[in-house]
Amino acid sequence: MKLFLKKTIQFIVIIGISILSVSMTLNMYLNKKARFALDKNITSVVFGHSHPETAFNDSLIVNFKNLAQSGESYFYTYIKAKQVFKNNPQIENVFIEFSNIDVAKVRDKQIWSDKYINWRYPIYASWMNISENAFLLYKNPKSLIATLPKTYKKQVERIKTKHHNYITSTSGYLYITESKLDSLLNTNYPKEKPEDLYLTKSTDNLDYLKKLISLCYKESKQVYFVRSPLYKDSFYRANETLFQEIKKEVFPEITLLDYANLDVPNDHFRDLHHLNYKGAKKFSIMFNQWLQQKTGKQ
Amino acid sequence: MLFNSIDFAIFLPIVFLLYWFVTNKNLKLQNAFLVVVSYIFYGWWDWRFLSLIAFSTLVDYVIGRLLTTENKDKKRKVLLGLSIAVNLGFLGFFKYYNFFLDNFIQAFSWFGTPISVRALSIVLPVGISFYTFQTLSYSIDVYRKKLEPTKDLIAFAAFVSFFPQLVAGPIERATNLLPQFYKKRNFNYSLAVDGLRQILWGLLKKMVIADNCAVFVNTIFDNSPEYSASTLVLGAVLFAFQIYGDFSGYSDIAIGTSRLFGFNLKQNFAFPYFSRDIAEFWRRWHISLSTWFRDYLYIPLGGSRGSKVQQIRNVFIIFIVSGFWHGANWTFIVWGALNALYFMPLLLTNNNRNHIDVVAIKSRFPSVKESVQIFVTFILTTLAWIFFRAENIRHALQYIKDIFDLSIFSMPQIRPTNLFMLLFFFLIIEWLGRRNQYALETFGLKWKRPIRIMFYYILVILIFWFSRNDQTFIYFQF
Repeated sequence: MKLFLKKTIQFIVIIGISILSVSMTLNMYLNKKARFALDKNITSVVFGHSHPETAFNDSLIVNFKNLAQSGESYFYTYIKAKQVFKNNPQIENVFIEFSNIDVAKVRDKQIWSDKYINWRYPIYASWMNISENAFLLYKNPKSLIATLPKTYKKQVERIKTKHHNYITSTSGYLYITESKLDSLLNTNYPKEKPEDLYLTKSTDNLDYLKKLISLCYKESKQVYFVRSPLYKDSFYRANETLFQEIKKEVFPEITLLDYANLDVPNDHFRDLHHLNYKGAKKFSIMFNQWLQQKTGKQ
Repeated sequence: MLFNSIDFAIFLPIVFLLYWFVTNKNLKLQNAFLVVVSYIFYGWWDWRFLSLIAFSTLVDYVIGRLLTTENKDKKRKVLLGLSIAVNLGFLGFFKYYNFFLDNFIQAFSWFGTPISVRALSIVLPVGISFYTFQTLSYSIDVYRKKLEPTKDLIAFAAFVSFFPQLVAGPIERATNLLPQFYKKRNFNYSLAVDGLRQILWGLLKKMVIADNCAVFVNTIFDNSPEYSASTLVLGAVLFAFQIYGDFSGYSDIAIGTSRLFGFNLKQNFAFPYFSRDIAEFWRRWHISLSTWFRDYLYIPLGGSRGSKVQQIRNVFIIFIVSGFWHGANWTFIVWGALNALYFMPLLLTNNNRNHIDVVAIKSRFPSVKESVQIFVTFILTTLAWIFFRAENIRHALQYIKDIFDLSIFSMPQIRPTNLFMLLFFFLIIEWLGRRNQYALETFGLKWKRPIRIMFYYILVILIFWFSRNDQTFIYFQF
């Protein structure tokens, strides 16, 4: 029995060490090759999820880059921001999407649930430090381990195709043409009822927001919260009281640019939570004016 | 709990260590431990259905006890009937209720009498087809006085619920497995190492071969009208490998896991795609089910005795019932009937027991004749698999019709080069190991240890590299 256990453990340990070595080699190589550099004239960026991703048309905003991506929680934003700041010291203003859903518990799940680990980890693994890996391992060990083969395949694919521009693969303005709001209002809505996950307070996501803000301060960036336009009957608004409380109590020092109630026609929305290209145009022109006034440029 | 999940990767070593280090002193404790962990294993999927296993266990245990004391034939028959009614009753309700209801409604509507009966939303308990057949075999064997009924309820419960083969077989006979629960198990190094090797090969079959074939099979079958005939052929061939890798892979993991705990289960697949005719194929495919039907259905019906008409009837019954066992769908019934048809020429010419030995048993390669026979048998089984995989009969017929098109001479629209290489590598090892219980049993044992270990590492890397998340086993649904 002892011999059996010894040999089996030996076999498994060697596999573990091999996997770890391959992982470290791939990560080191990708770290070395990765490009996070933005154009030198980019001085303002926005981070966040699909709301800013579809709202900020950065071709209409001067010296501005949209670095948001669908479903991105602050955990992944924090990892991305570290690389972006390291490679782009010219950035002065950082806009962080801070909306109702970002303070909700559902956002925690969007860090480490099966679906999100499977989606995000292969992209971000190269930039994660030990504590970030340990956090995911603690939260969802099964999924993290199950995602490793996919992660390595993606990384090898990236090396093979020499696709090292991470800005394009982790962010960018999303141009949406469709407008489904009216049909949604006529069919699904108001049947949509928020689950508890949308009403209770996030813990992990907000912790990483605090880390993100600390990082911005450390890198001497001006931080703003921004709440992108949201349709008036969006069920995300159900936690409005909680949202306001958190803003007031946890982040009182940060300016919130609140566009949630911006007057936007129905056909400018894709659905209840996202603008389409028309809405993005209207919003981006307006935001650009504000930004230029603020920075004193015209 | 799936064998190819992280849950099982954690579960197995814990159970293994507790089994050999904590419960090894006492046989009863060891058996009780196996019952508990088997129930945890099953309950991981849905604990509510544990009551079904427990009930089935109790019923067959009590009936077994009563059969020992009862001498009157009539009463013994009633007791056996009760066991059959309970076990098949569960199976019939959970698996076939809605099928019969749908067909009943359809039949009435054909006669112009539409009826409306509400279908039930029934969840099929995982593995019910397997463990009901296992417990049934116990009652029937006790009734036939081929087996001494057990007094040990714990051992019997462990036999019914033994976790490695609980949800997808092999369907073990009480005559083989139950006595193993009576004897103290001592750790056997060679058996355990062999078990690990078989688990490794099973994982490769499932995670590398079956799961990667599944991707292309699903694409082709789900969008079959869009593909050329050659692509449809490719889809059917890949499904043949998918179902083999999936099910025989599960069996390998089950048998290998049992060996880690000191148990020997019977071989369930014996390289069926190297068969030279359909009769040989059915002696090599899902052996535990085929022999179950042979012993408890085919032989009682008269088997190969009696007139040719009776023999033909028996063959059709056994194949159709076997098809129906797989699922409550006409596609499975047609699949079974088609295999019976394939069998007919062999039966009518008394050639159904021509190929008992392994192909090319004394040579490295098959002869030209054998190669042609293997190829033809594979084509026939693959054609039948189309019914097995298709959504319904119409889909299967359309799929087959679309194969008979001039585009069969074109290049397939999908060309999974990596998968072809994997299949080639897989088939070579299967061919080299065809004389054994599983391909890897003796493969490489004569090599120097570092080379052999390196080979196992390569297999692990292949499994790691080609694995896909969330792929369940096809046979769980049966």
